[in-house]
Amino acid sequence: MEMAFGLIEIKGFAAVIAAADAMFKTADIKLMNKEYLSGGTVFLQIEGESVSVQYAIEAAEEAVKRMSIFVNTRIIINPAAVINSSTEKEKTISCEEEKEQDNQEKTKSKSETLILHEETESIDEKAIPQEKPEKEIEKEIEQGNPINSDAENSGEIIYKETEAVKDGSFSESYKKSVELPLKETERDTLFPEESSEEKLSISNIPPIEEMDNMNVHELRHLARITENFPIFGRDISKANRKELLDYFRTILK
Amino acid sequence: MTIEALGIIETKGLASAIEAADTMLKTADIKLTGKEIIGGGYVSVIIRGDVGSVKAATEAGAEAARKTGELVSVLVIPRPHHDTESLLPKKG
Repeated sequence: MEMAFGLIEIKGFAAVIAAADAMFKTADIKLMNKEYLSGGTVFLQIEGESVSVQYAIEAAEEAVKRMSIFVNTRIIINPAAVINSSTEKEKTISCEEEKEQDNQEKTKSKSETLILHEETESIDEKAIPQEKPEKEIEKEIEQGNPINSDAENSGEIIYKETEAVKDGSFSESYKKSVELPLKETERDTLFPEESSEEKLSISNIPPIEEMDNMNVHELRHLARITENFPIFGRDISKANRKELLDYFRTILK
Repeated sequence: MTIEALGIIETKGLASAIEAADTMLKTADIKLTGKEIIGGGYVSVIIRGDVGSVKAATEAGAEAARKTGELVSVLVIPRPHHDTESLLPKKG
């Protein structure tokens, strides 16, 4: 199997297309190079098996001559290494083109990653309450985690914090957010399950004899859930067992 | 997608090429897919469409180009080879 080059020079673009089409349709050849020379002359270089190239060039000549256009052809069978190297050069040119394309793709992918990055950023922003200046968001990210871990279930707190941030000065809101979890934890110890349980009316309170068997914590709990108990919140926490029992006695009377 | 017929009108000078393109577009339902300037004043306009449309358009276009300037060549390929497309200027 002998390899060959086919070289063809044609004047005019239409004739080049006609020639190329004829060559492609006639034989199995590859177009290696196309160059626009000065004066409207176009140079084509094809490669393939020597017989294929011969038939292809014949077909091209015929197609172009039919259009009464100047054509010059040459077939080189078993091209010398030097000419091969010239083709190599062309190949390197095409390689460079590919590199350019690669670069373009890289820049593309870069921009895509940028976009992705932006998207992740925007997602982050979405995770945090929206419509806030970036600095505040950063602050919140820095300071938010410890607050959250302190407050454990901090959904309400974050909400309040967000409200504060929306209202304006962040430093104030941050103080609040620091204070809030403290209050929250305090409140949890002070009024456990206060909101969840309904108040006991006086008629539903267990008798004093039963209360005598209760410890101080149970009594405090009972005091908190009792309707119209004389003292509230912190006072109940401060009150000792005897005081609580006294209060219950006054109620029950 | 089916392969559409290819039509090329080549003129010497841009003005007659534009005249030819205009006439072609007015004559038949074809698409103007590009132009190629290869130097030496040679300008080609490339159209695609049905074989009949392309043939009619190129005939009218060639006539217009001959009147306004120098017509170099007219080419109609009813079904261009896949590899031939690589020689044509890319769309857009």
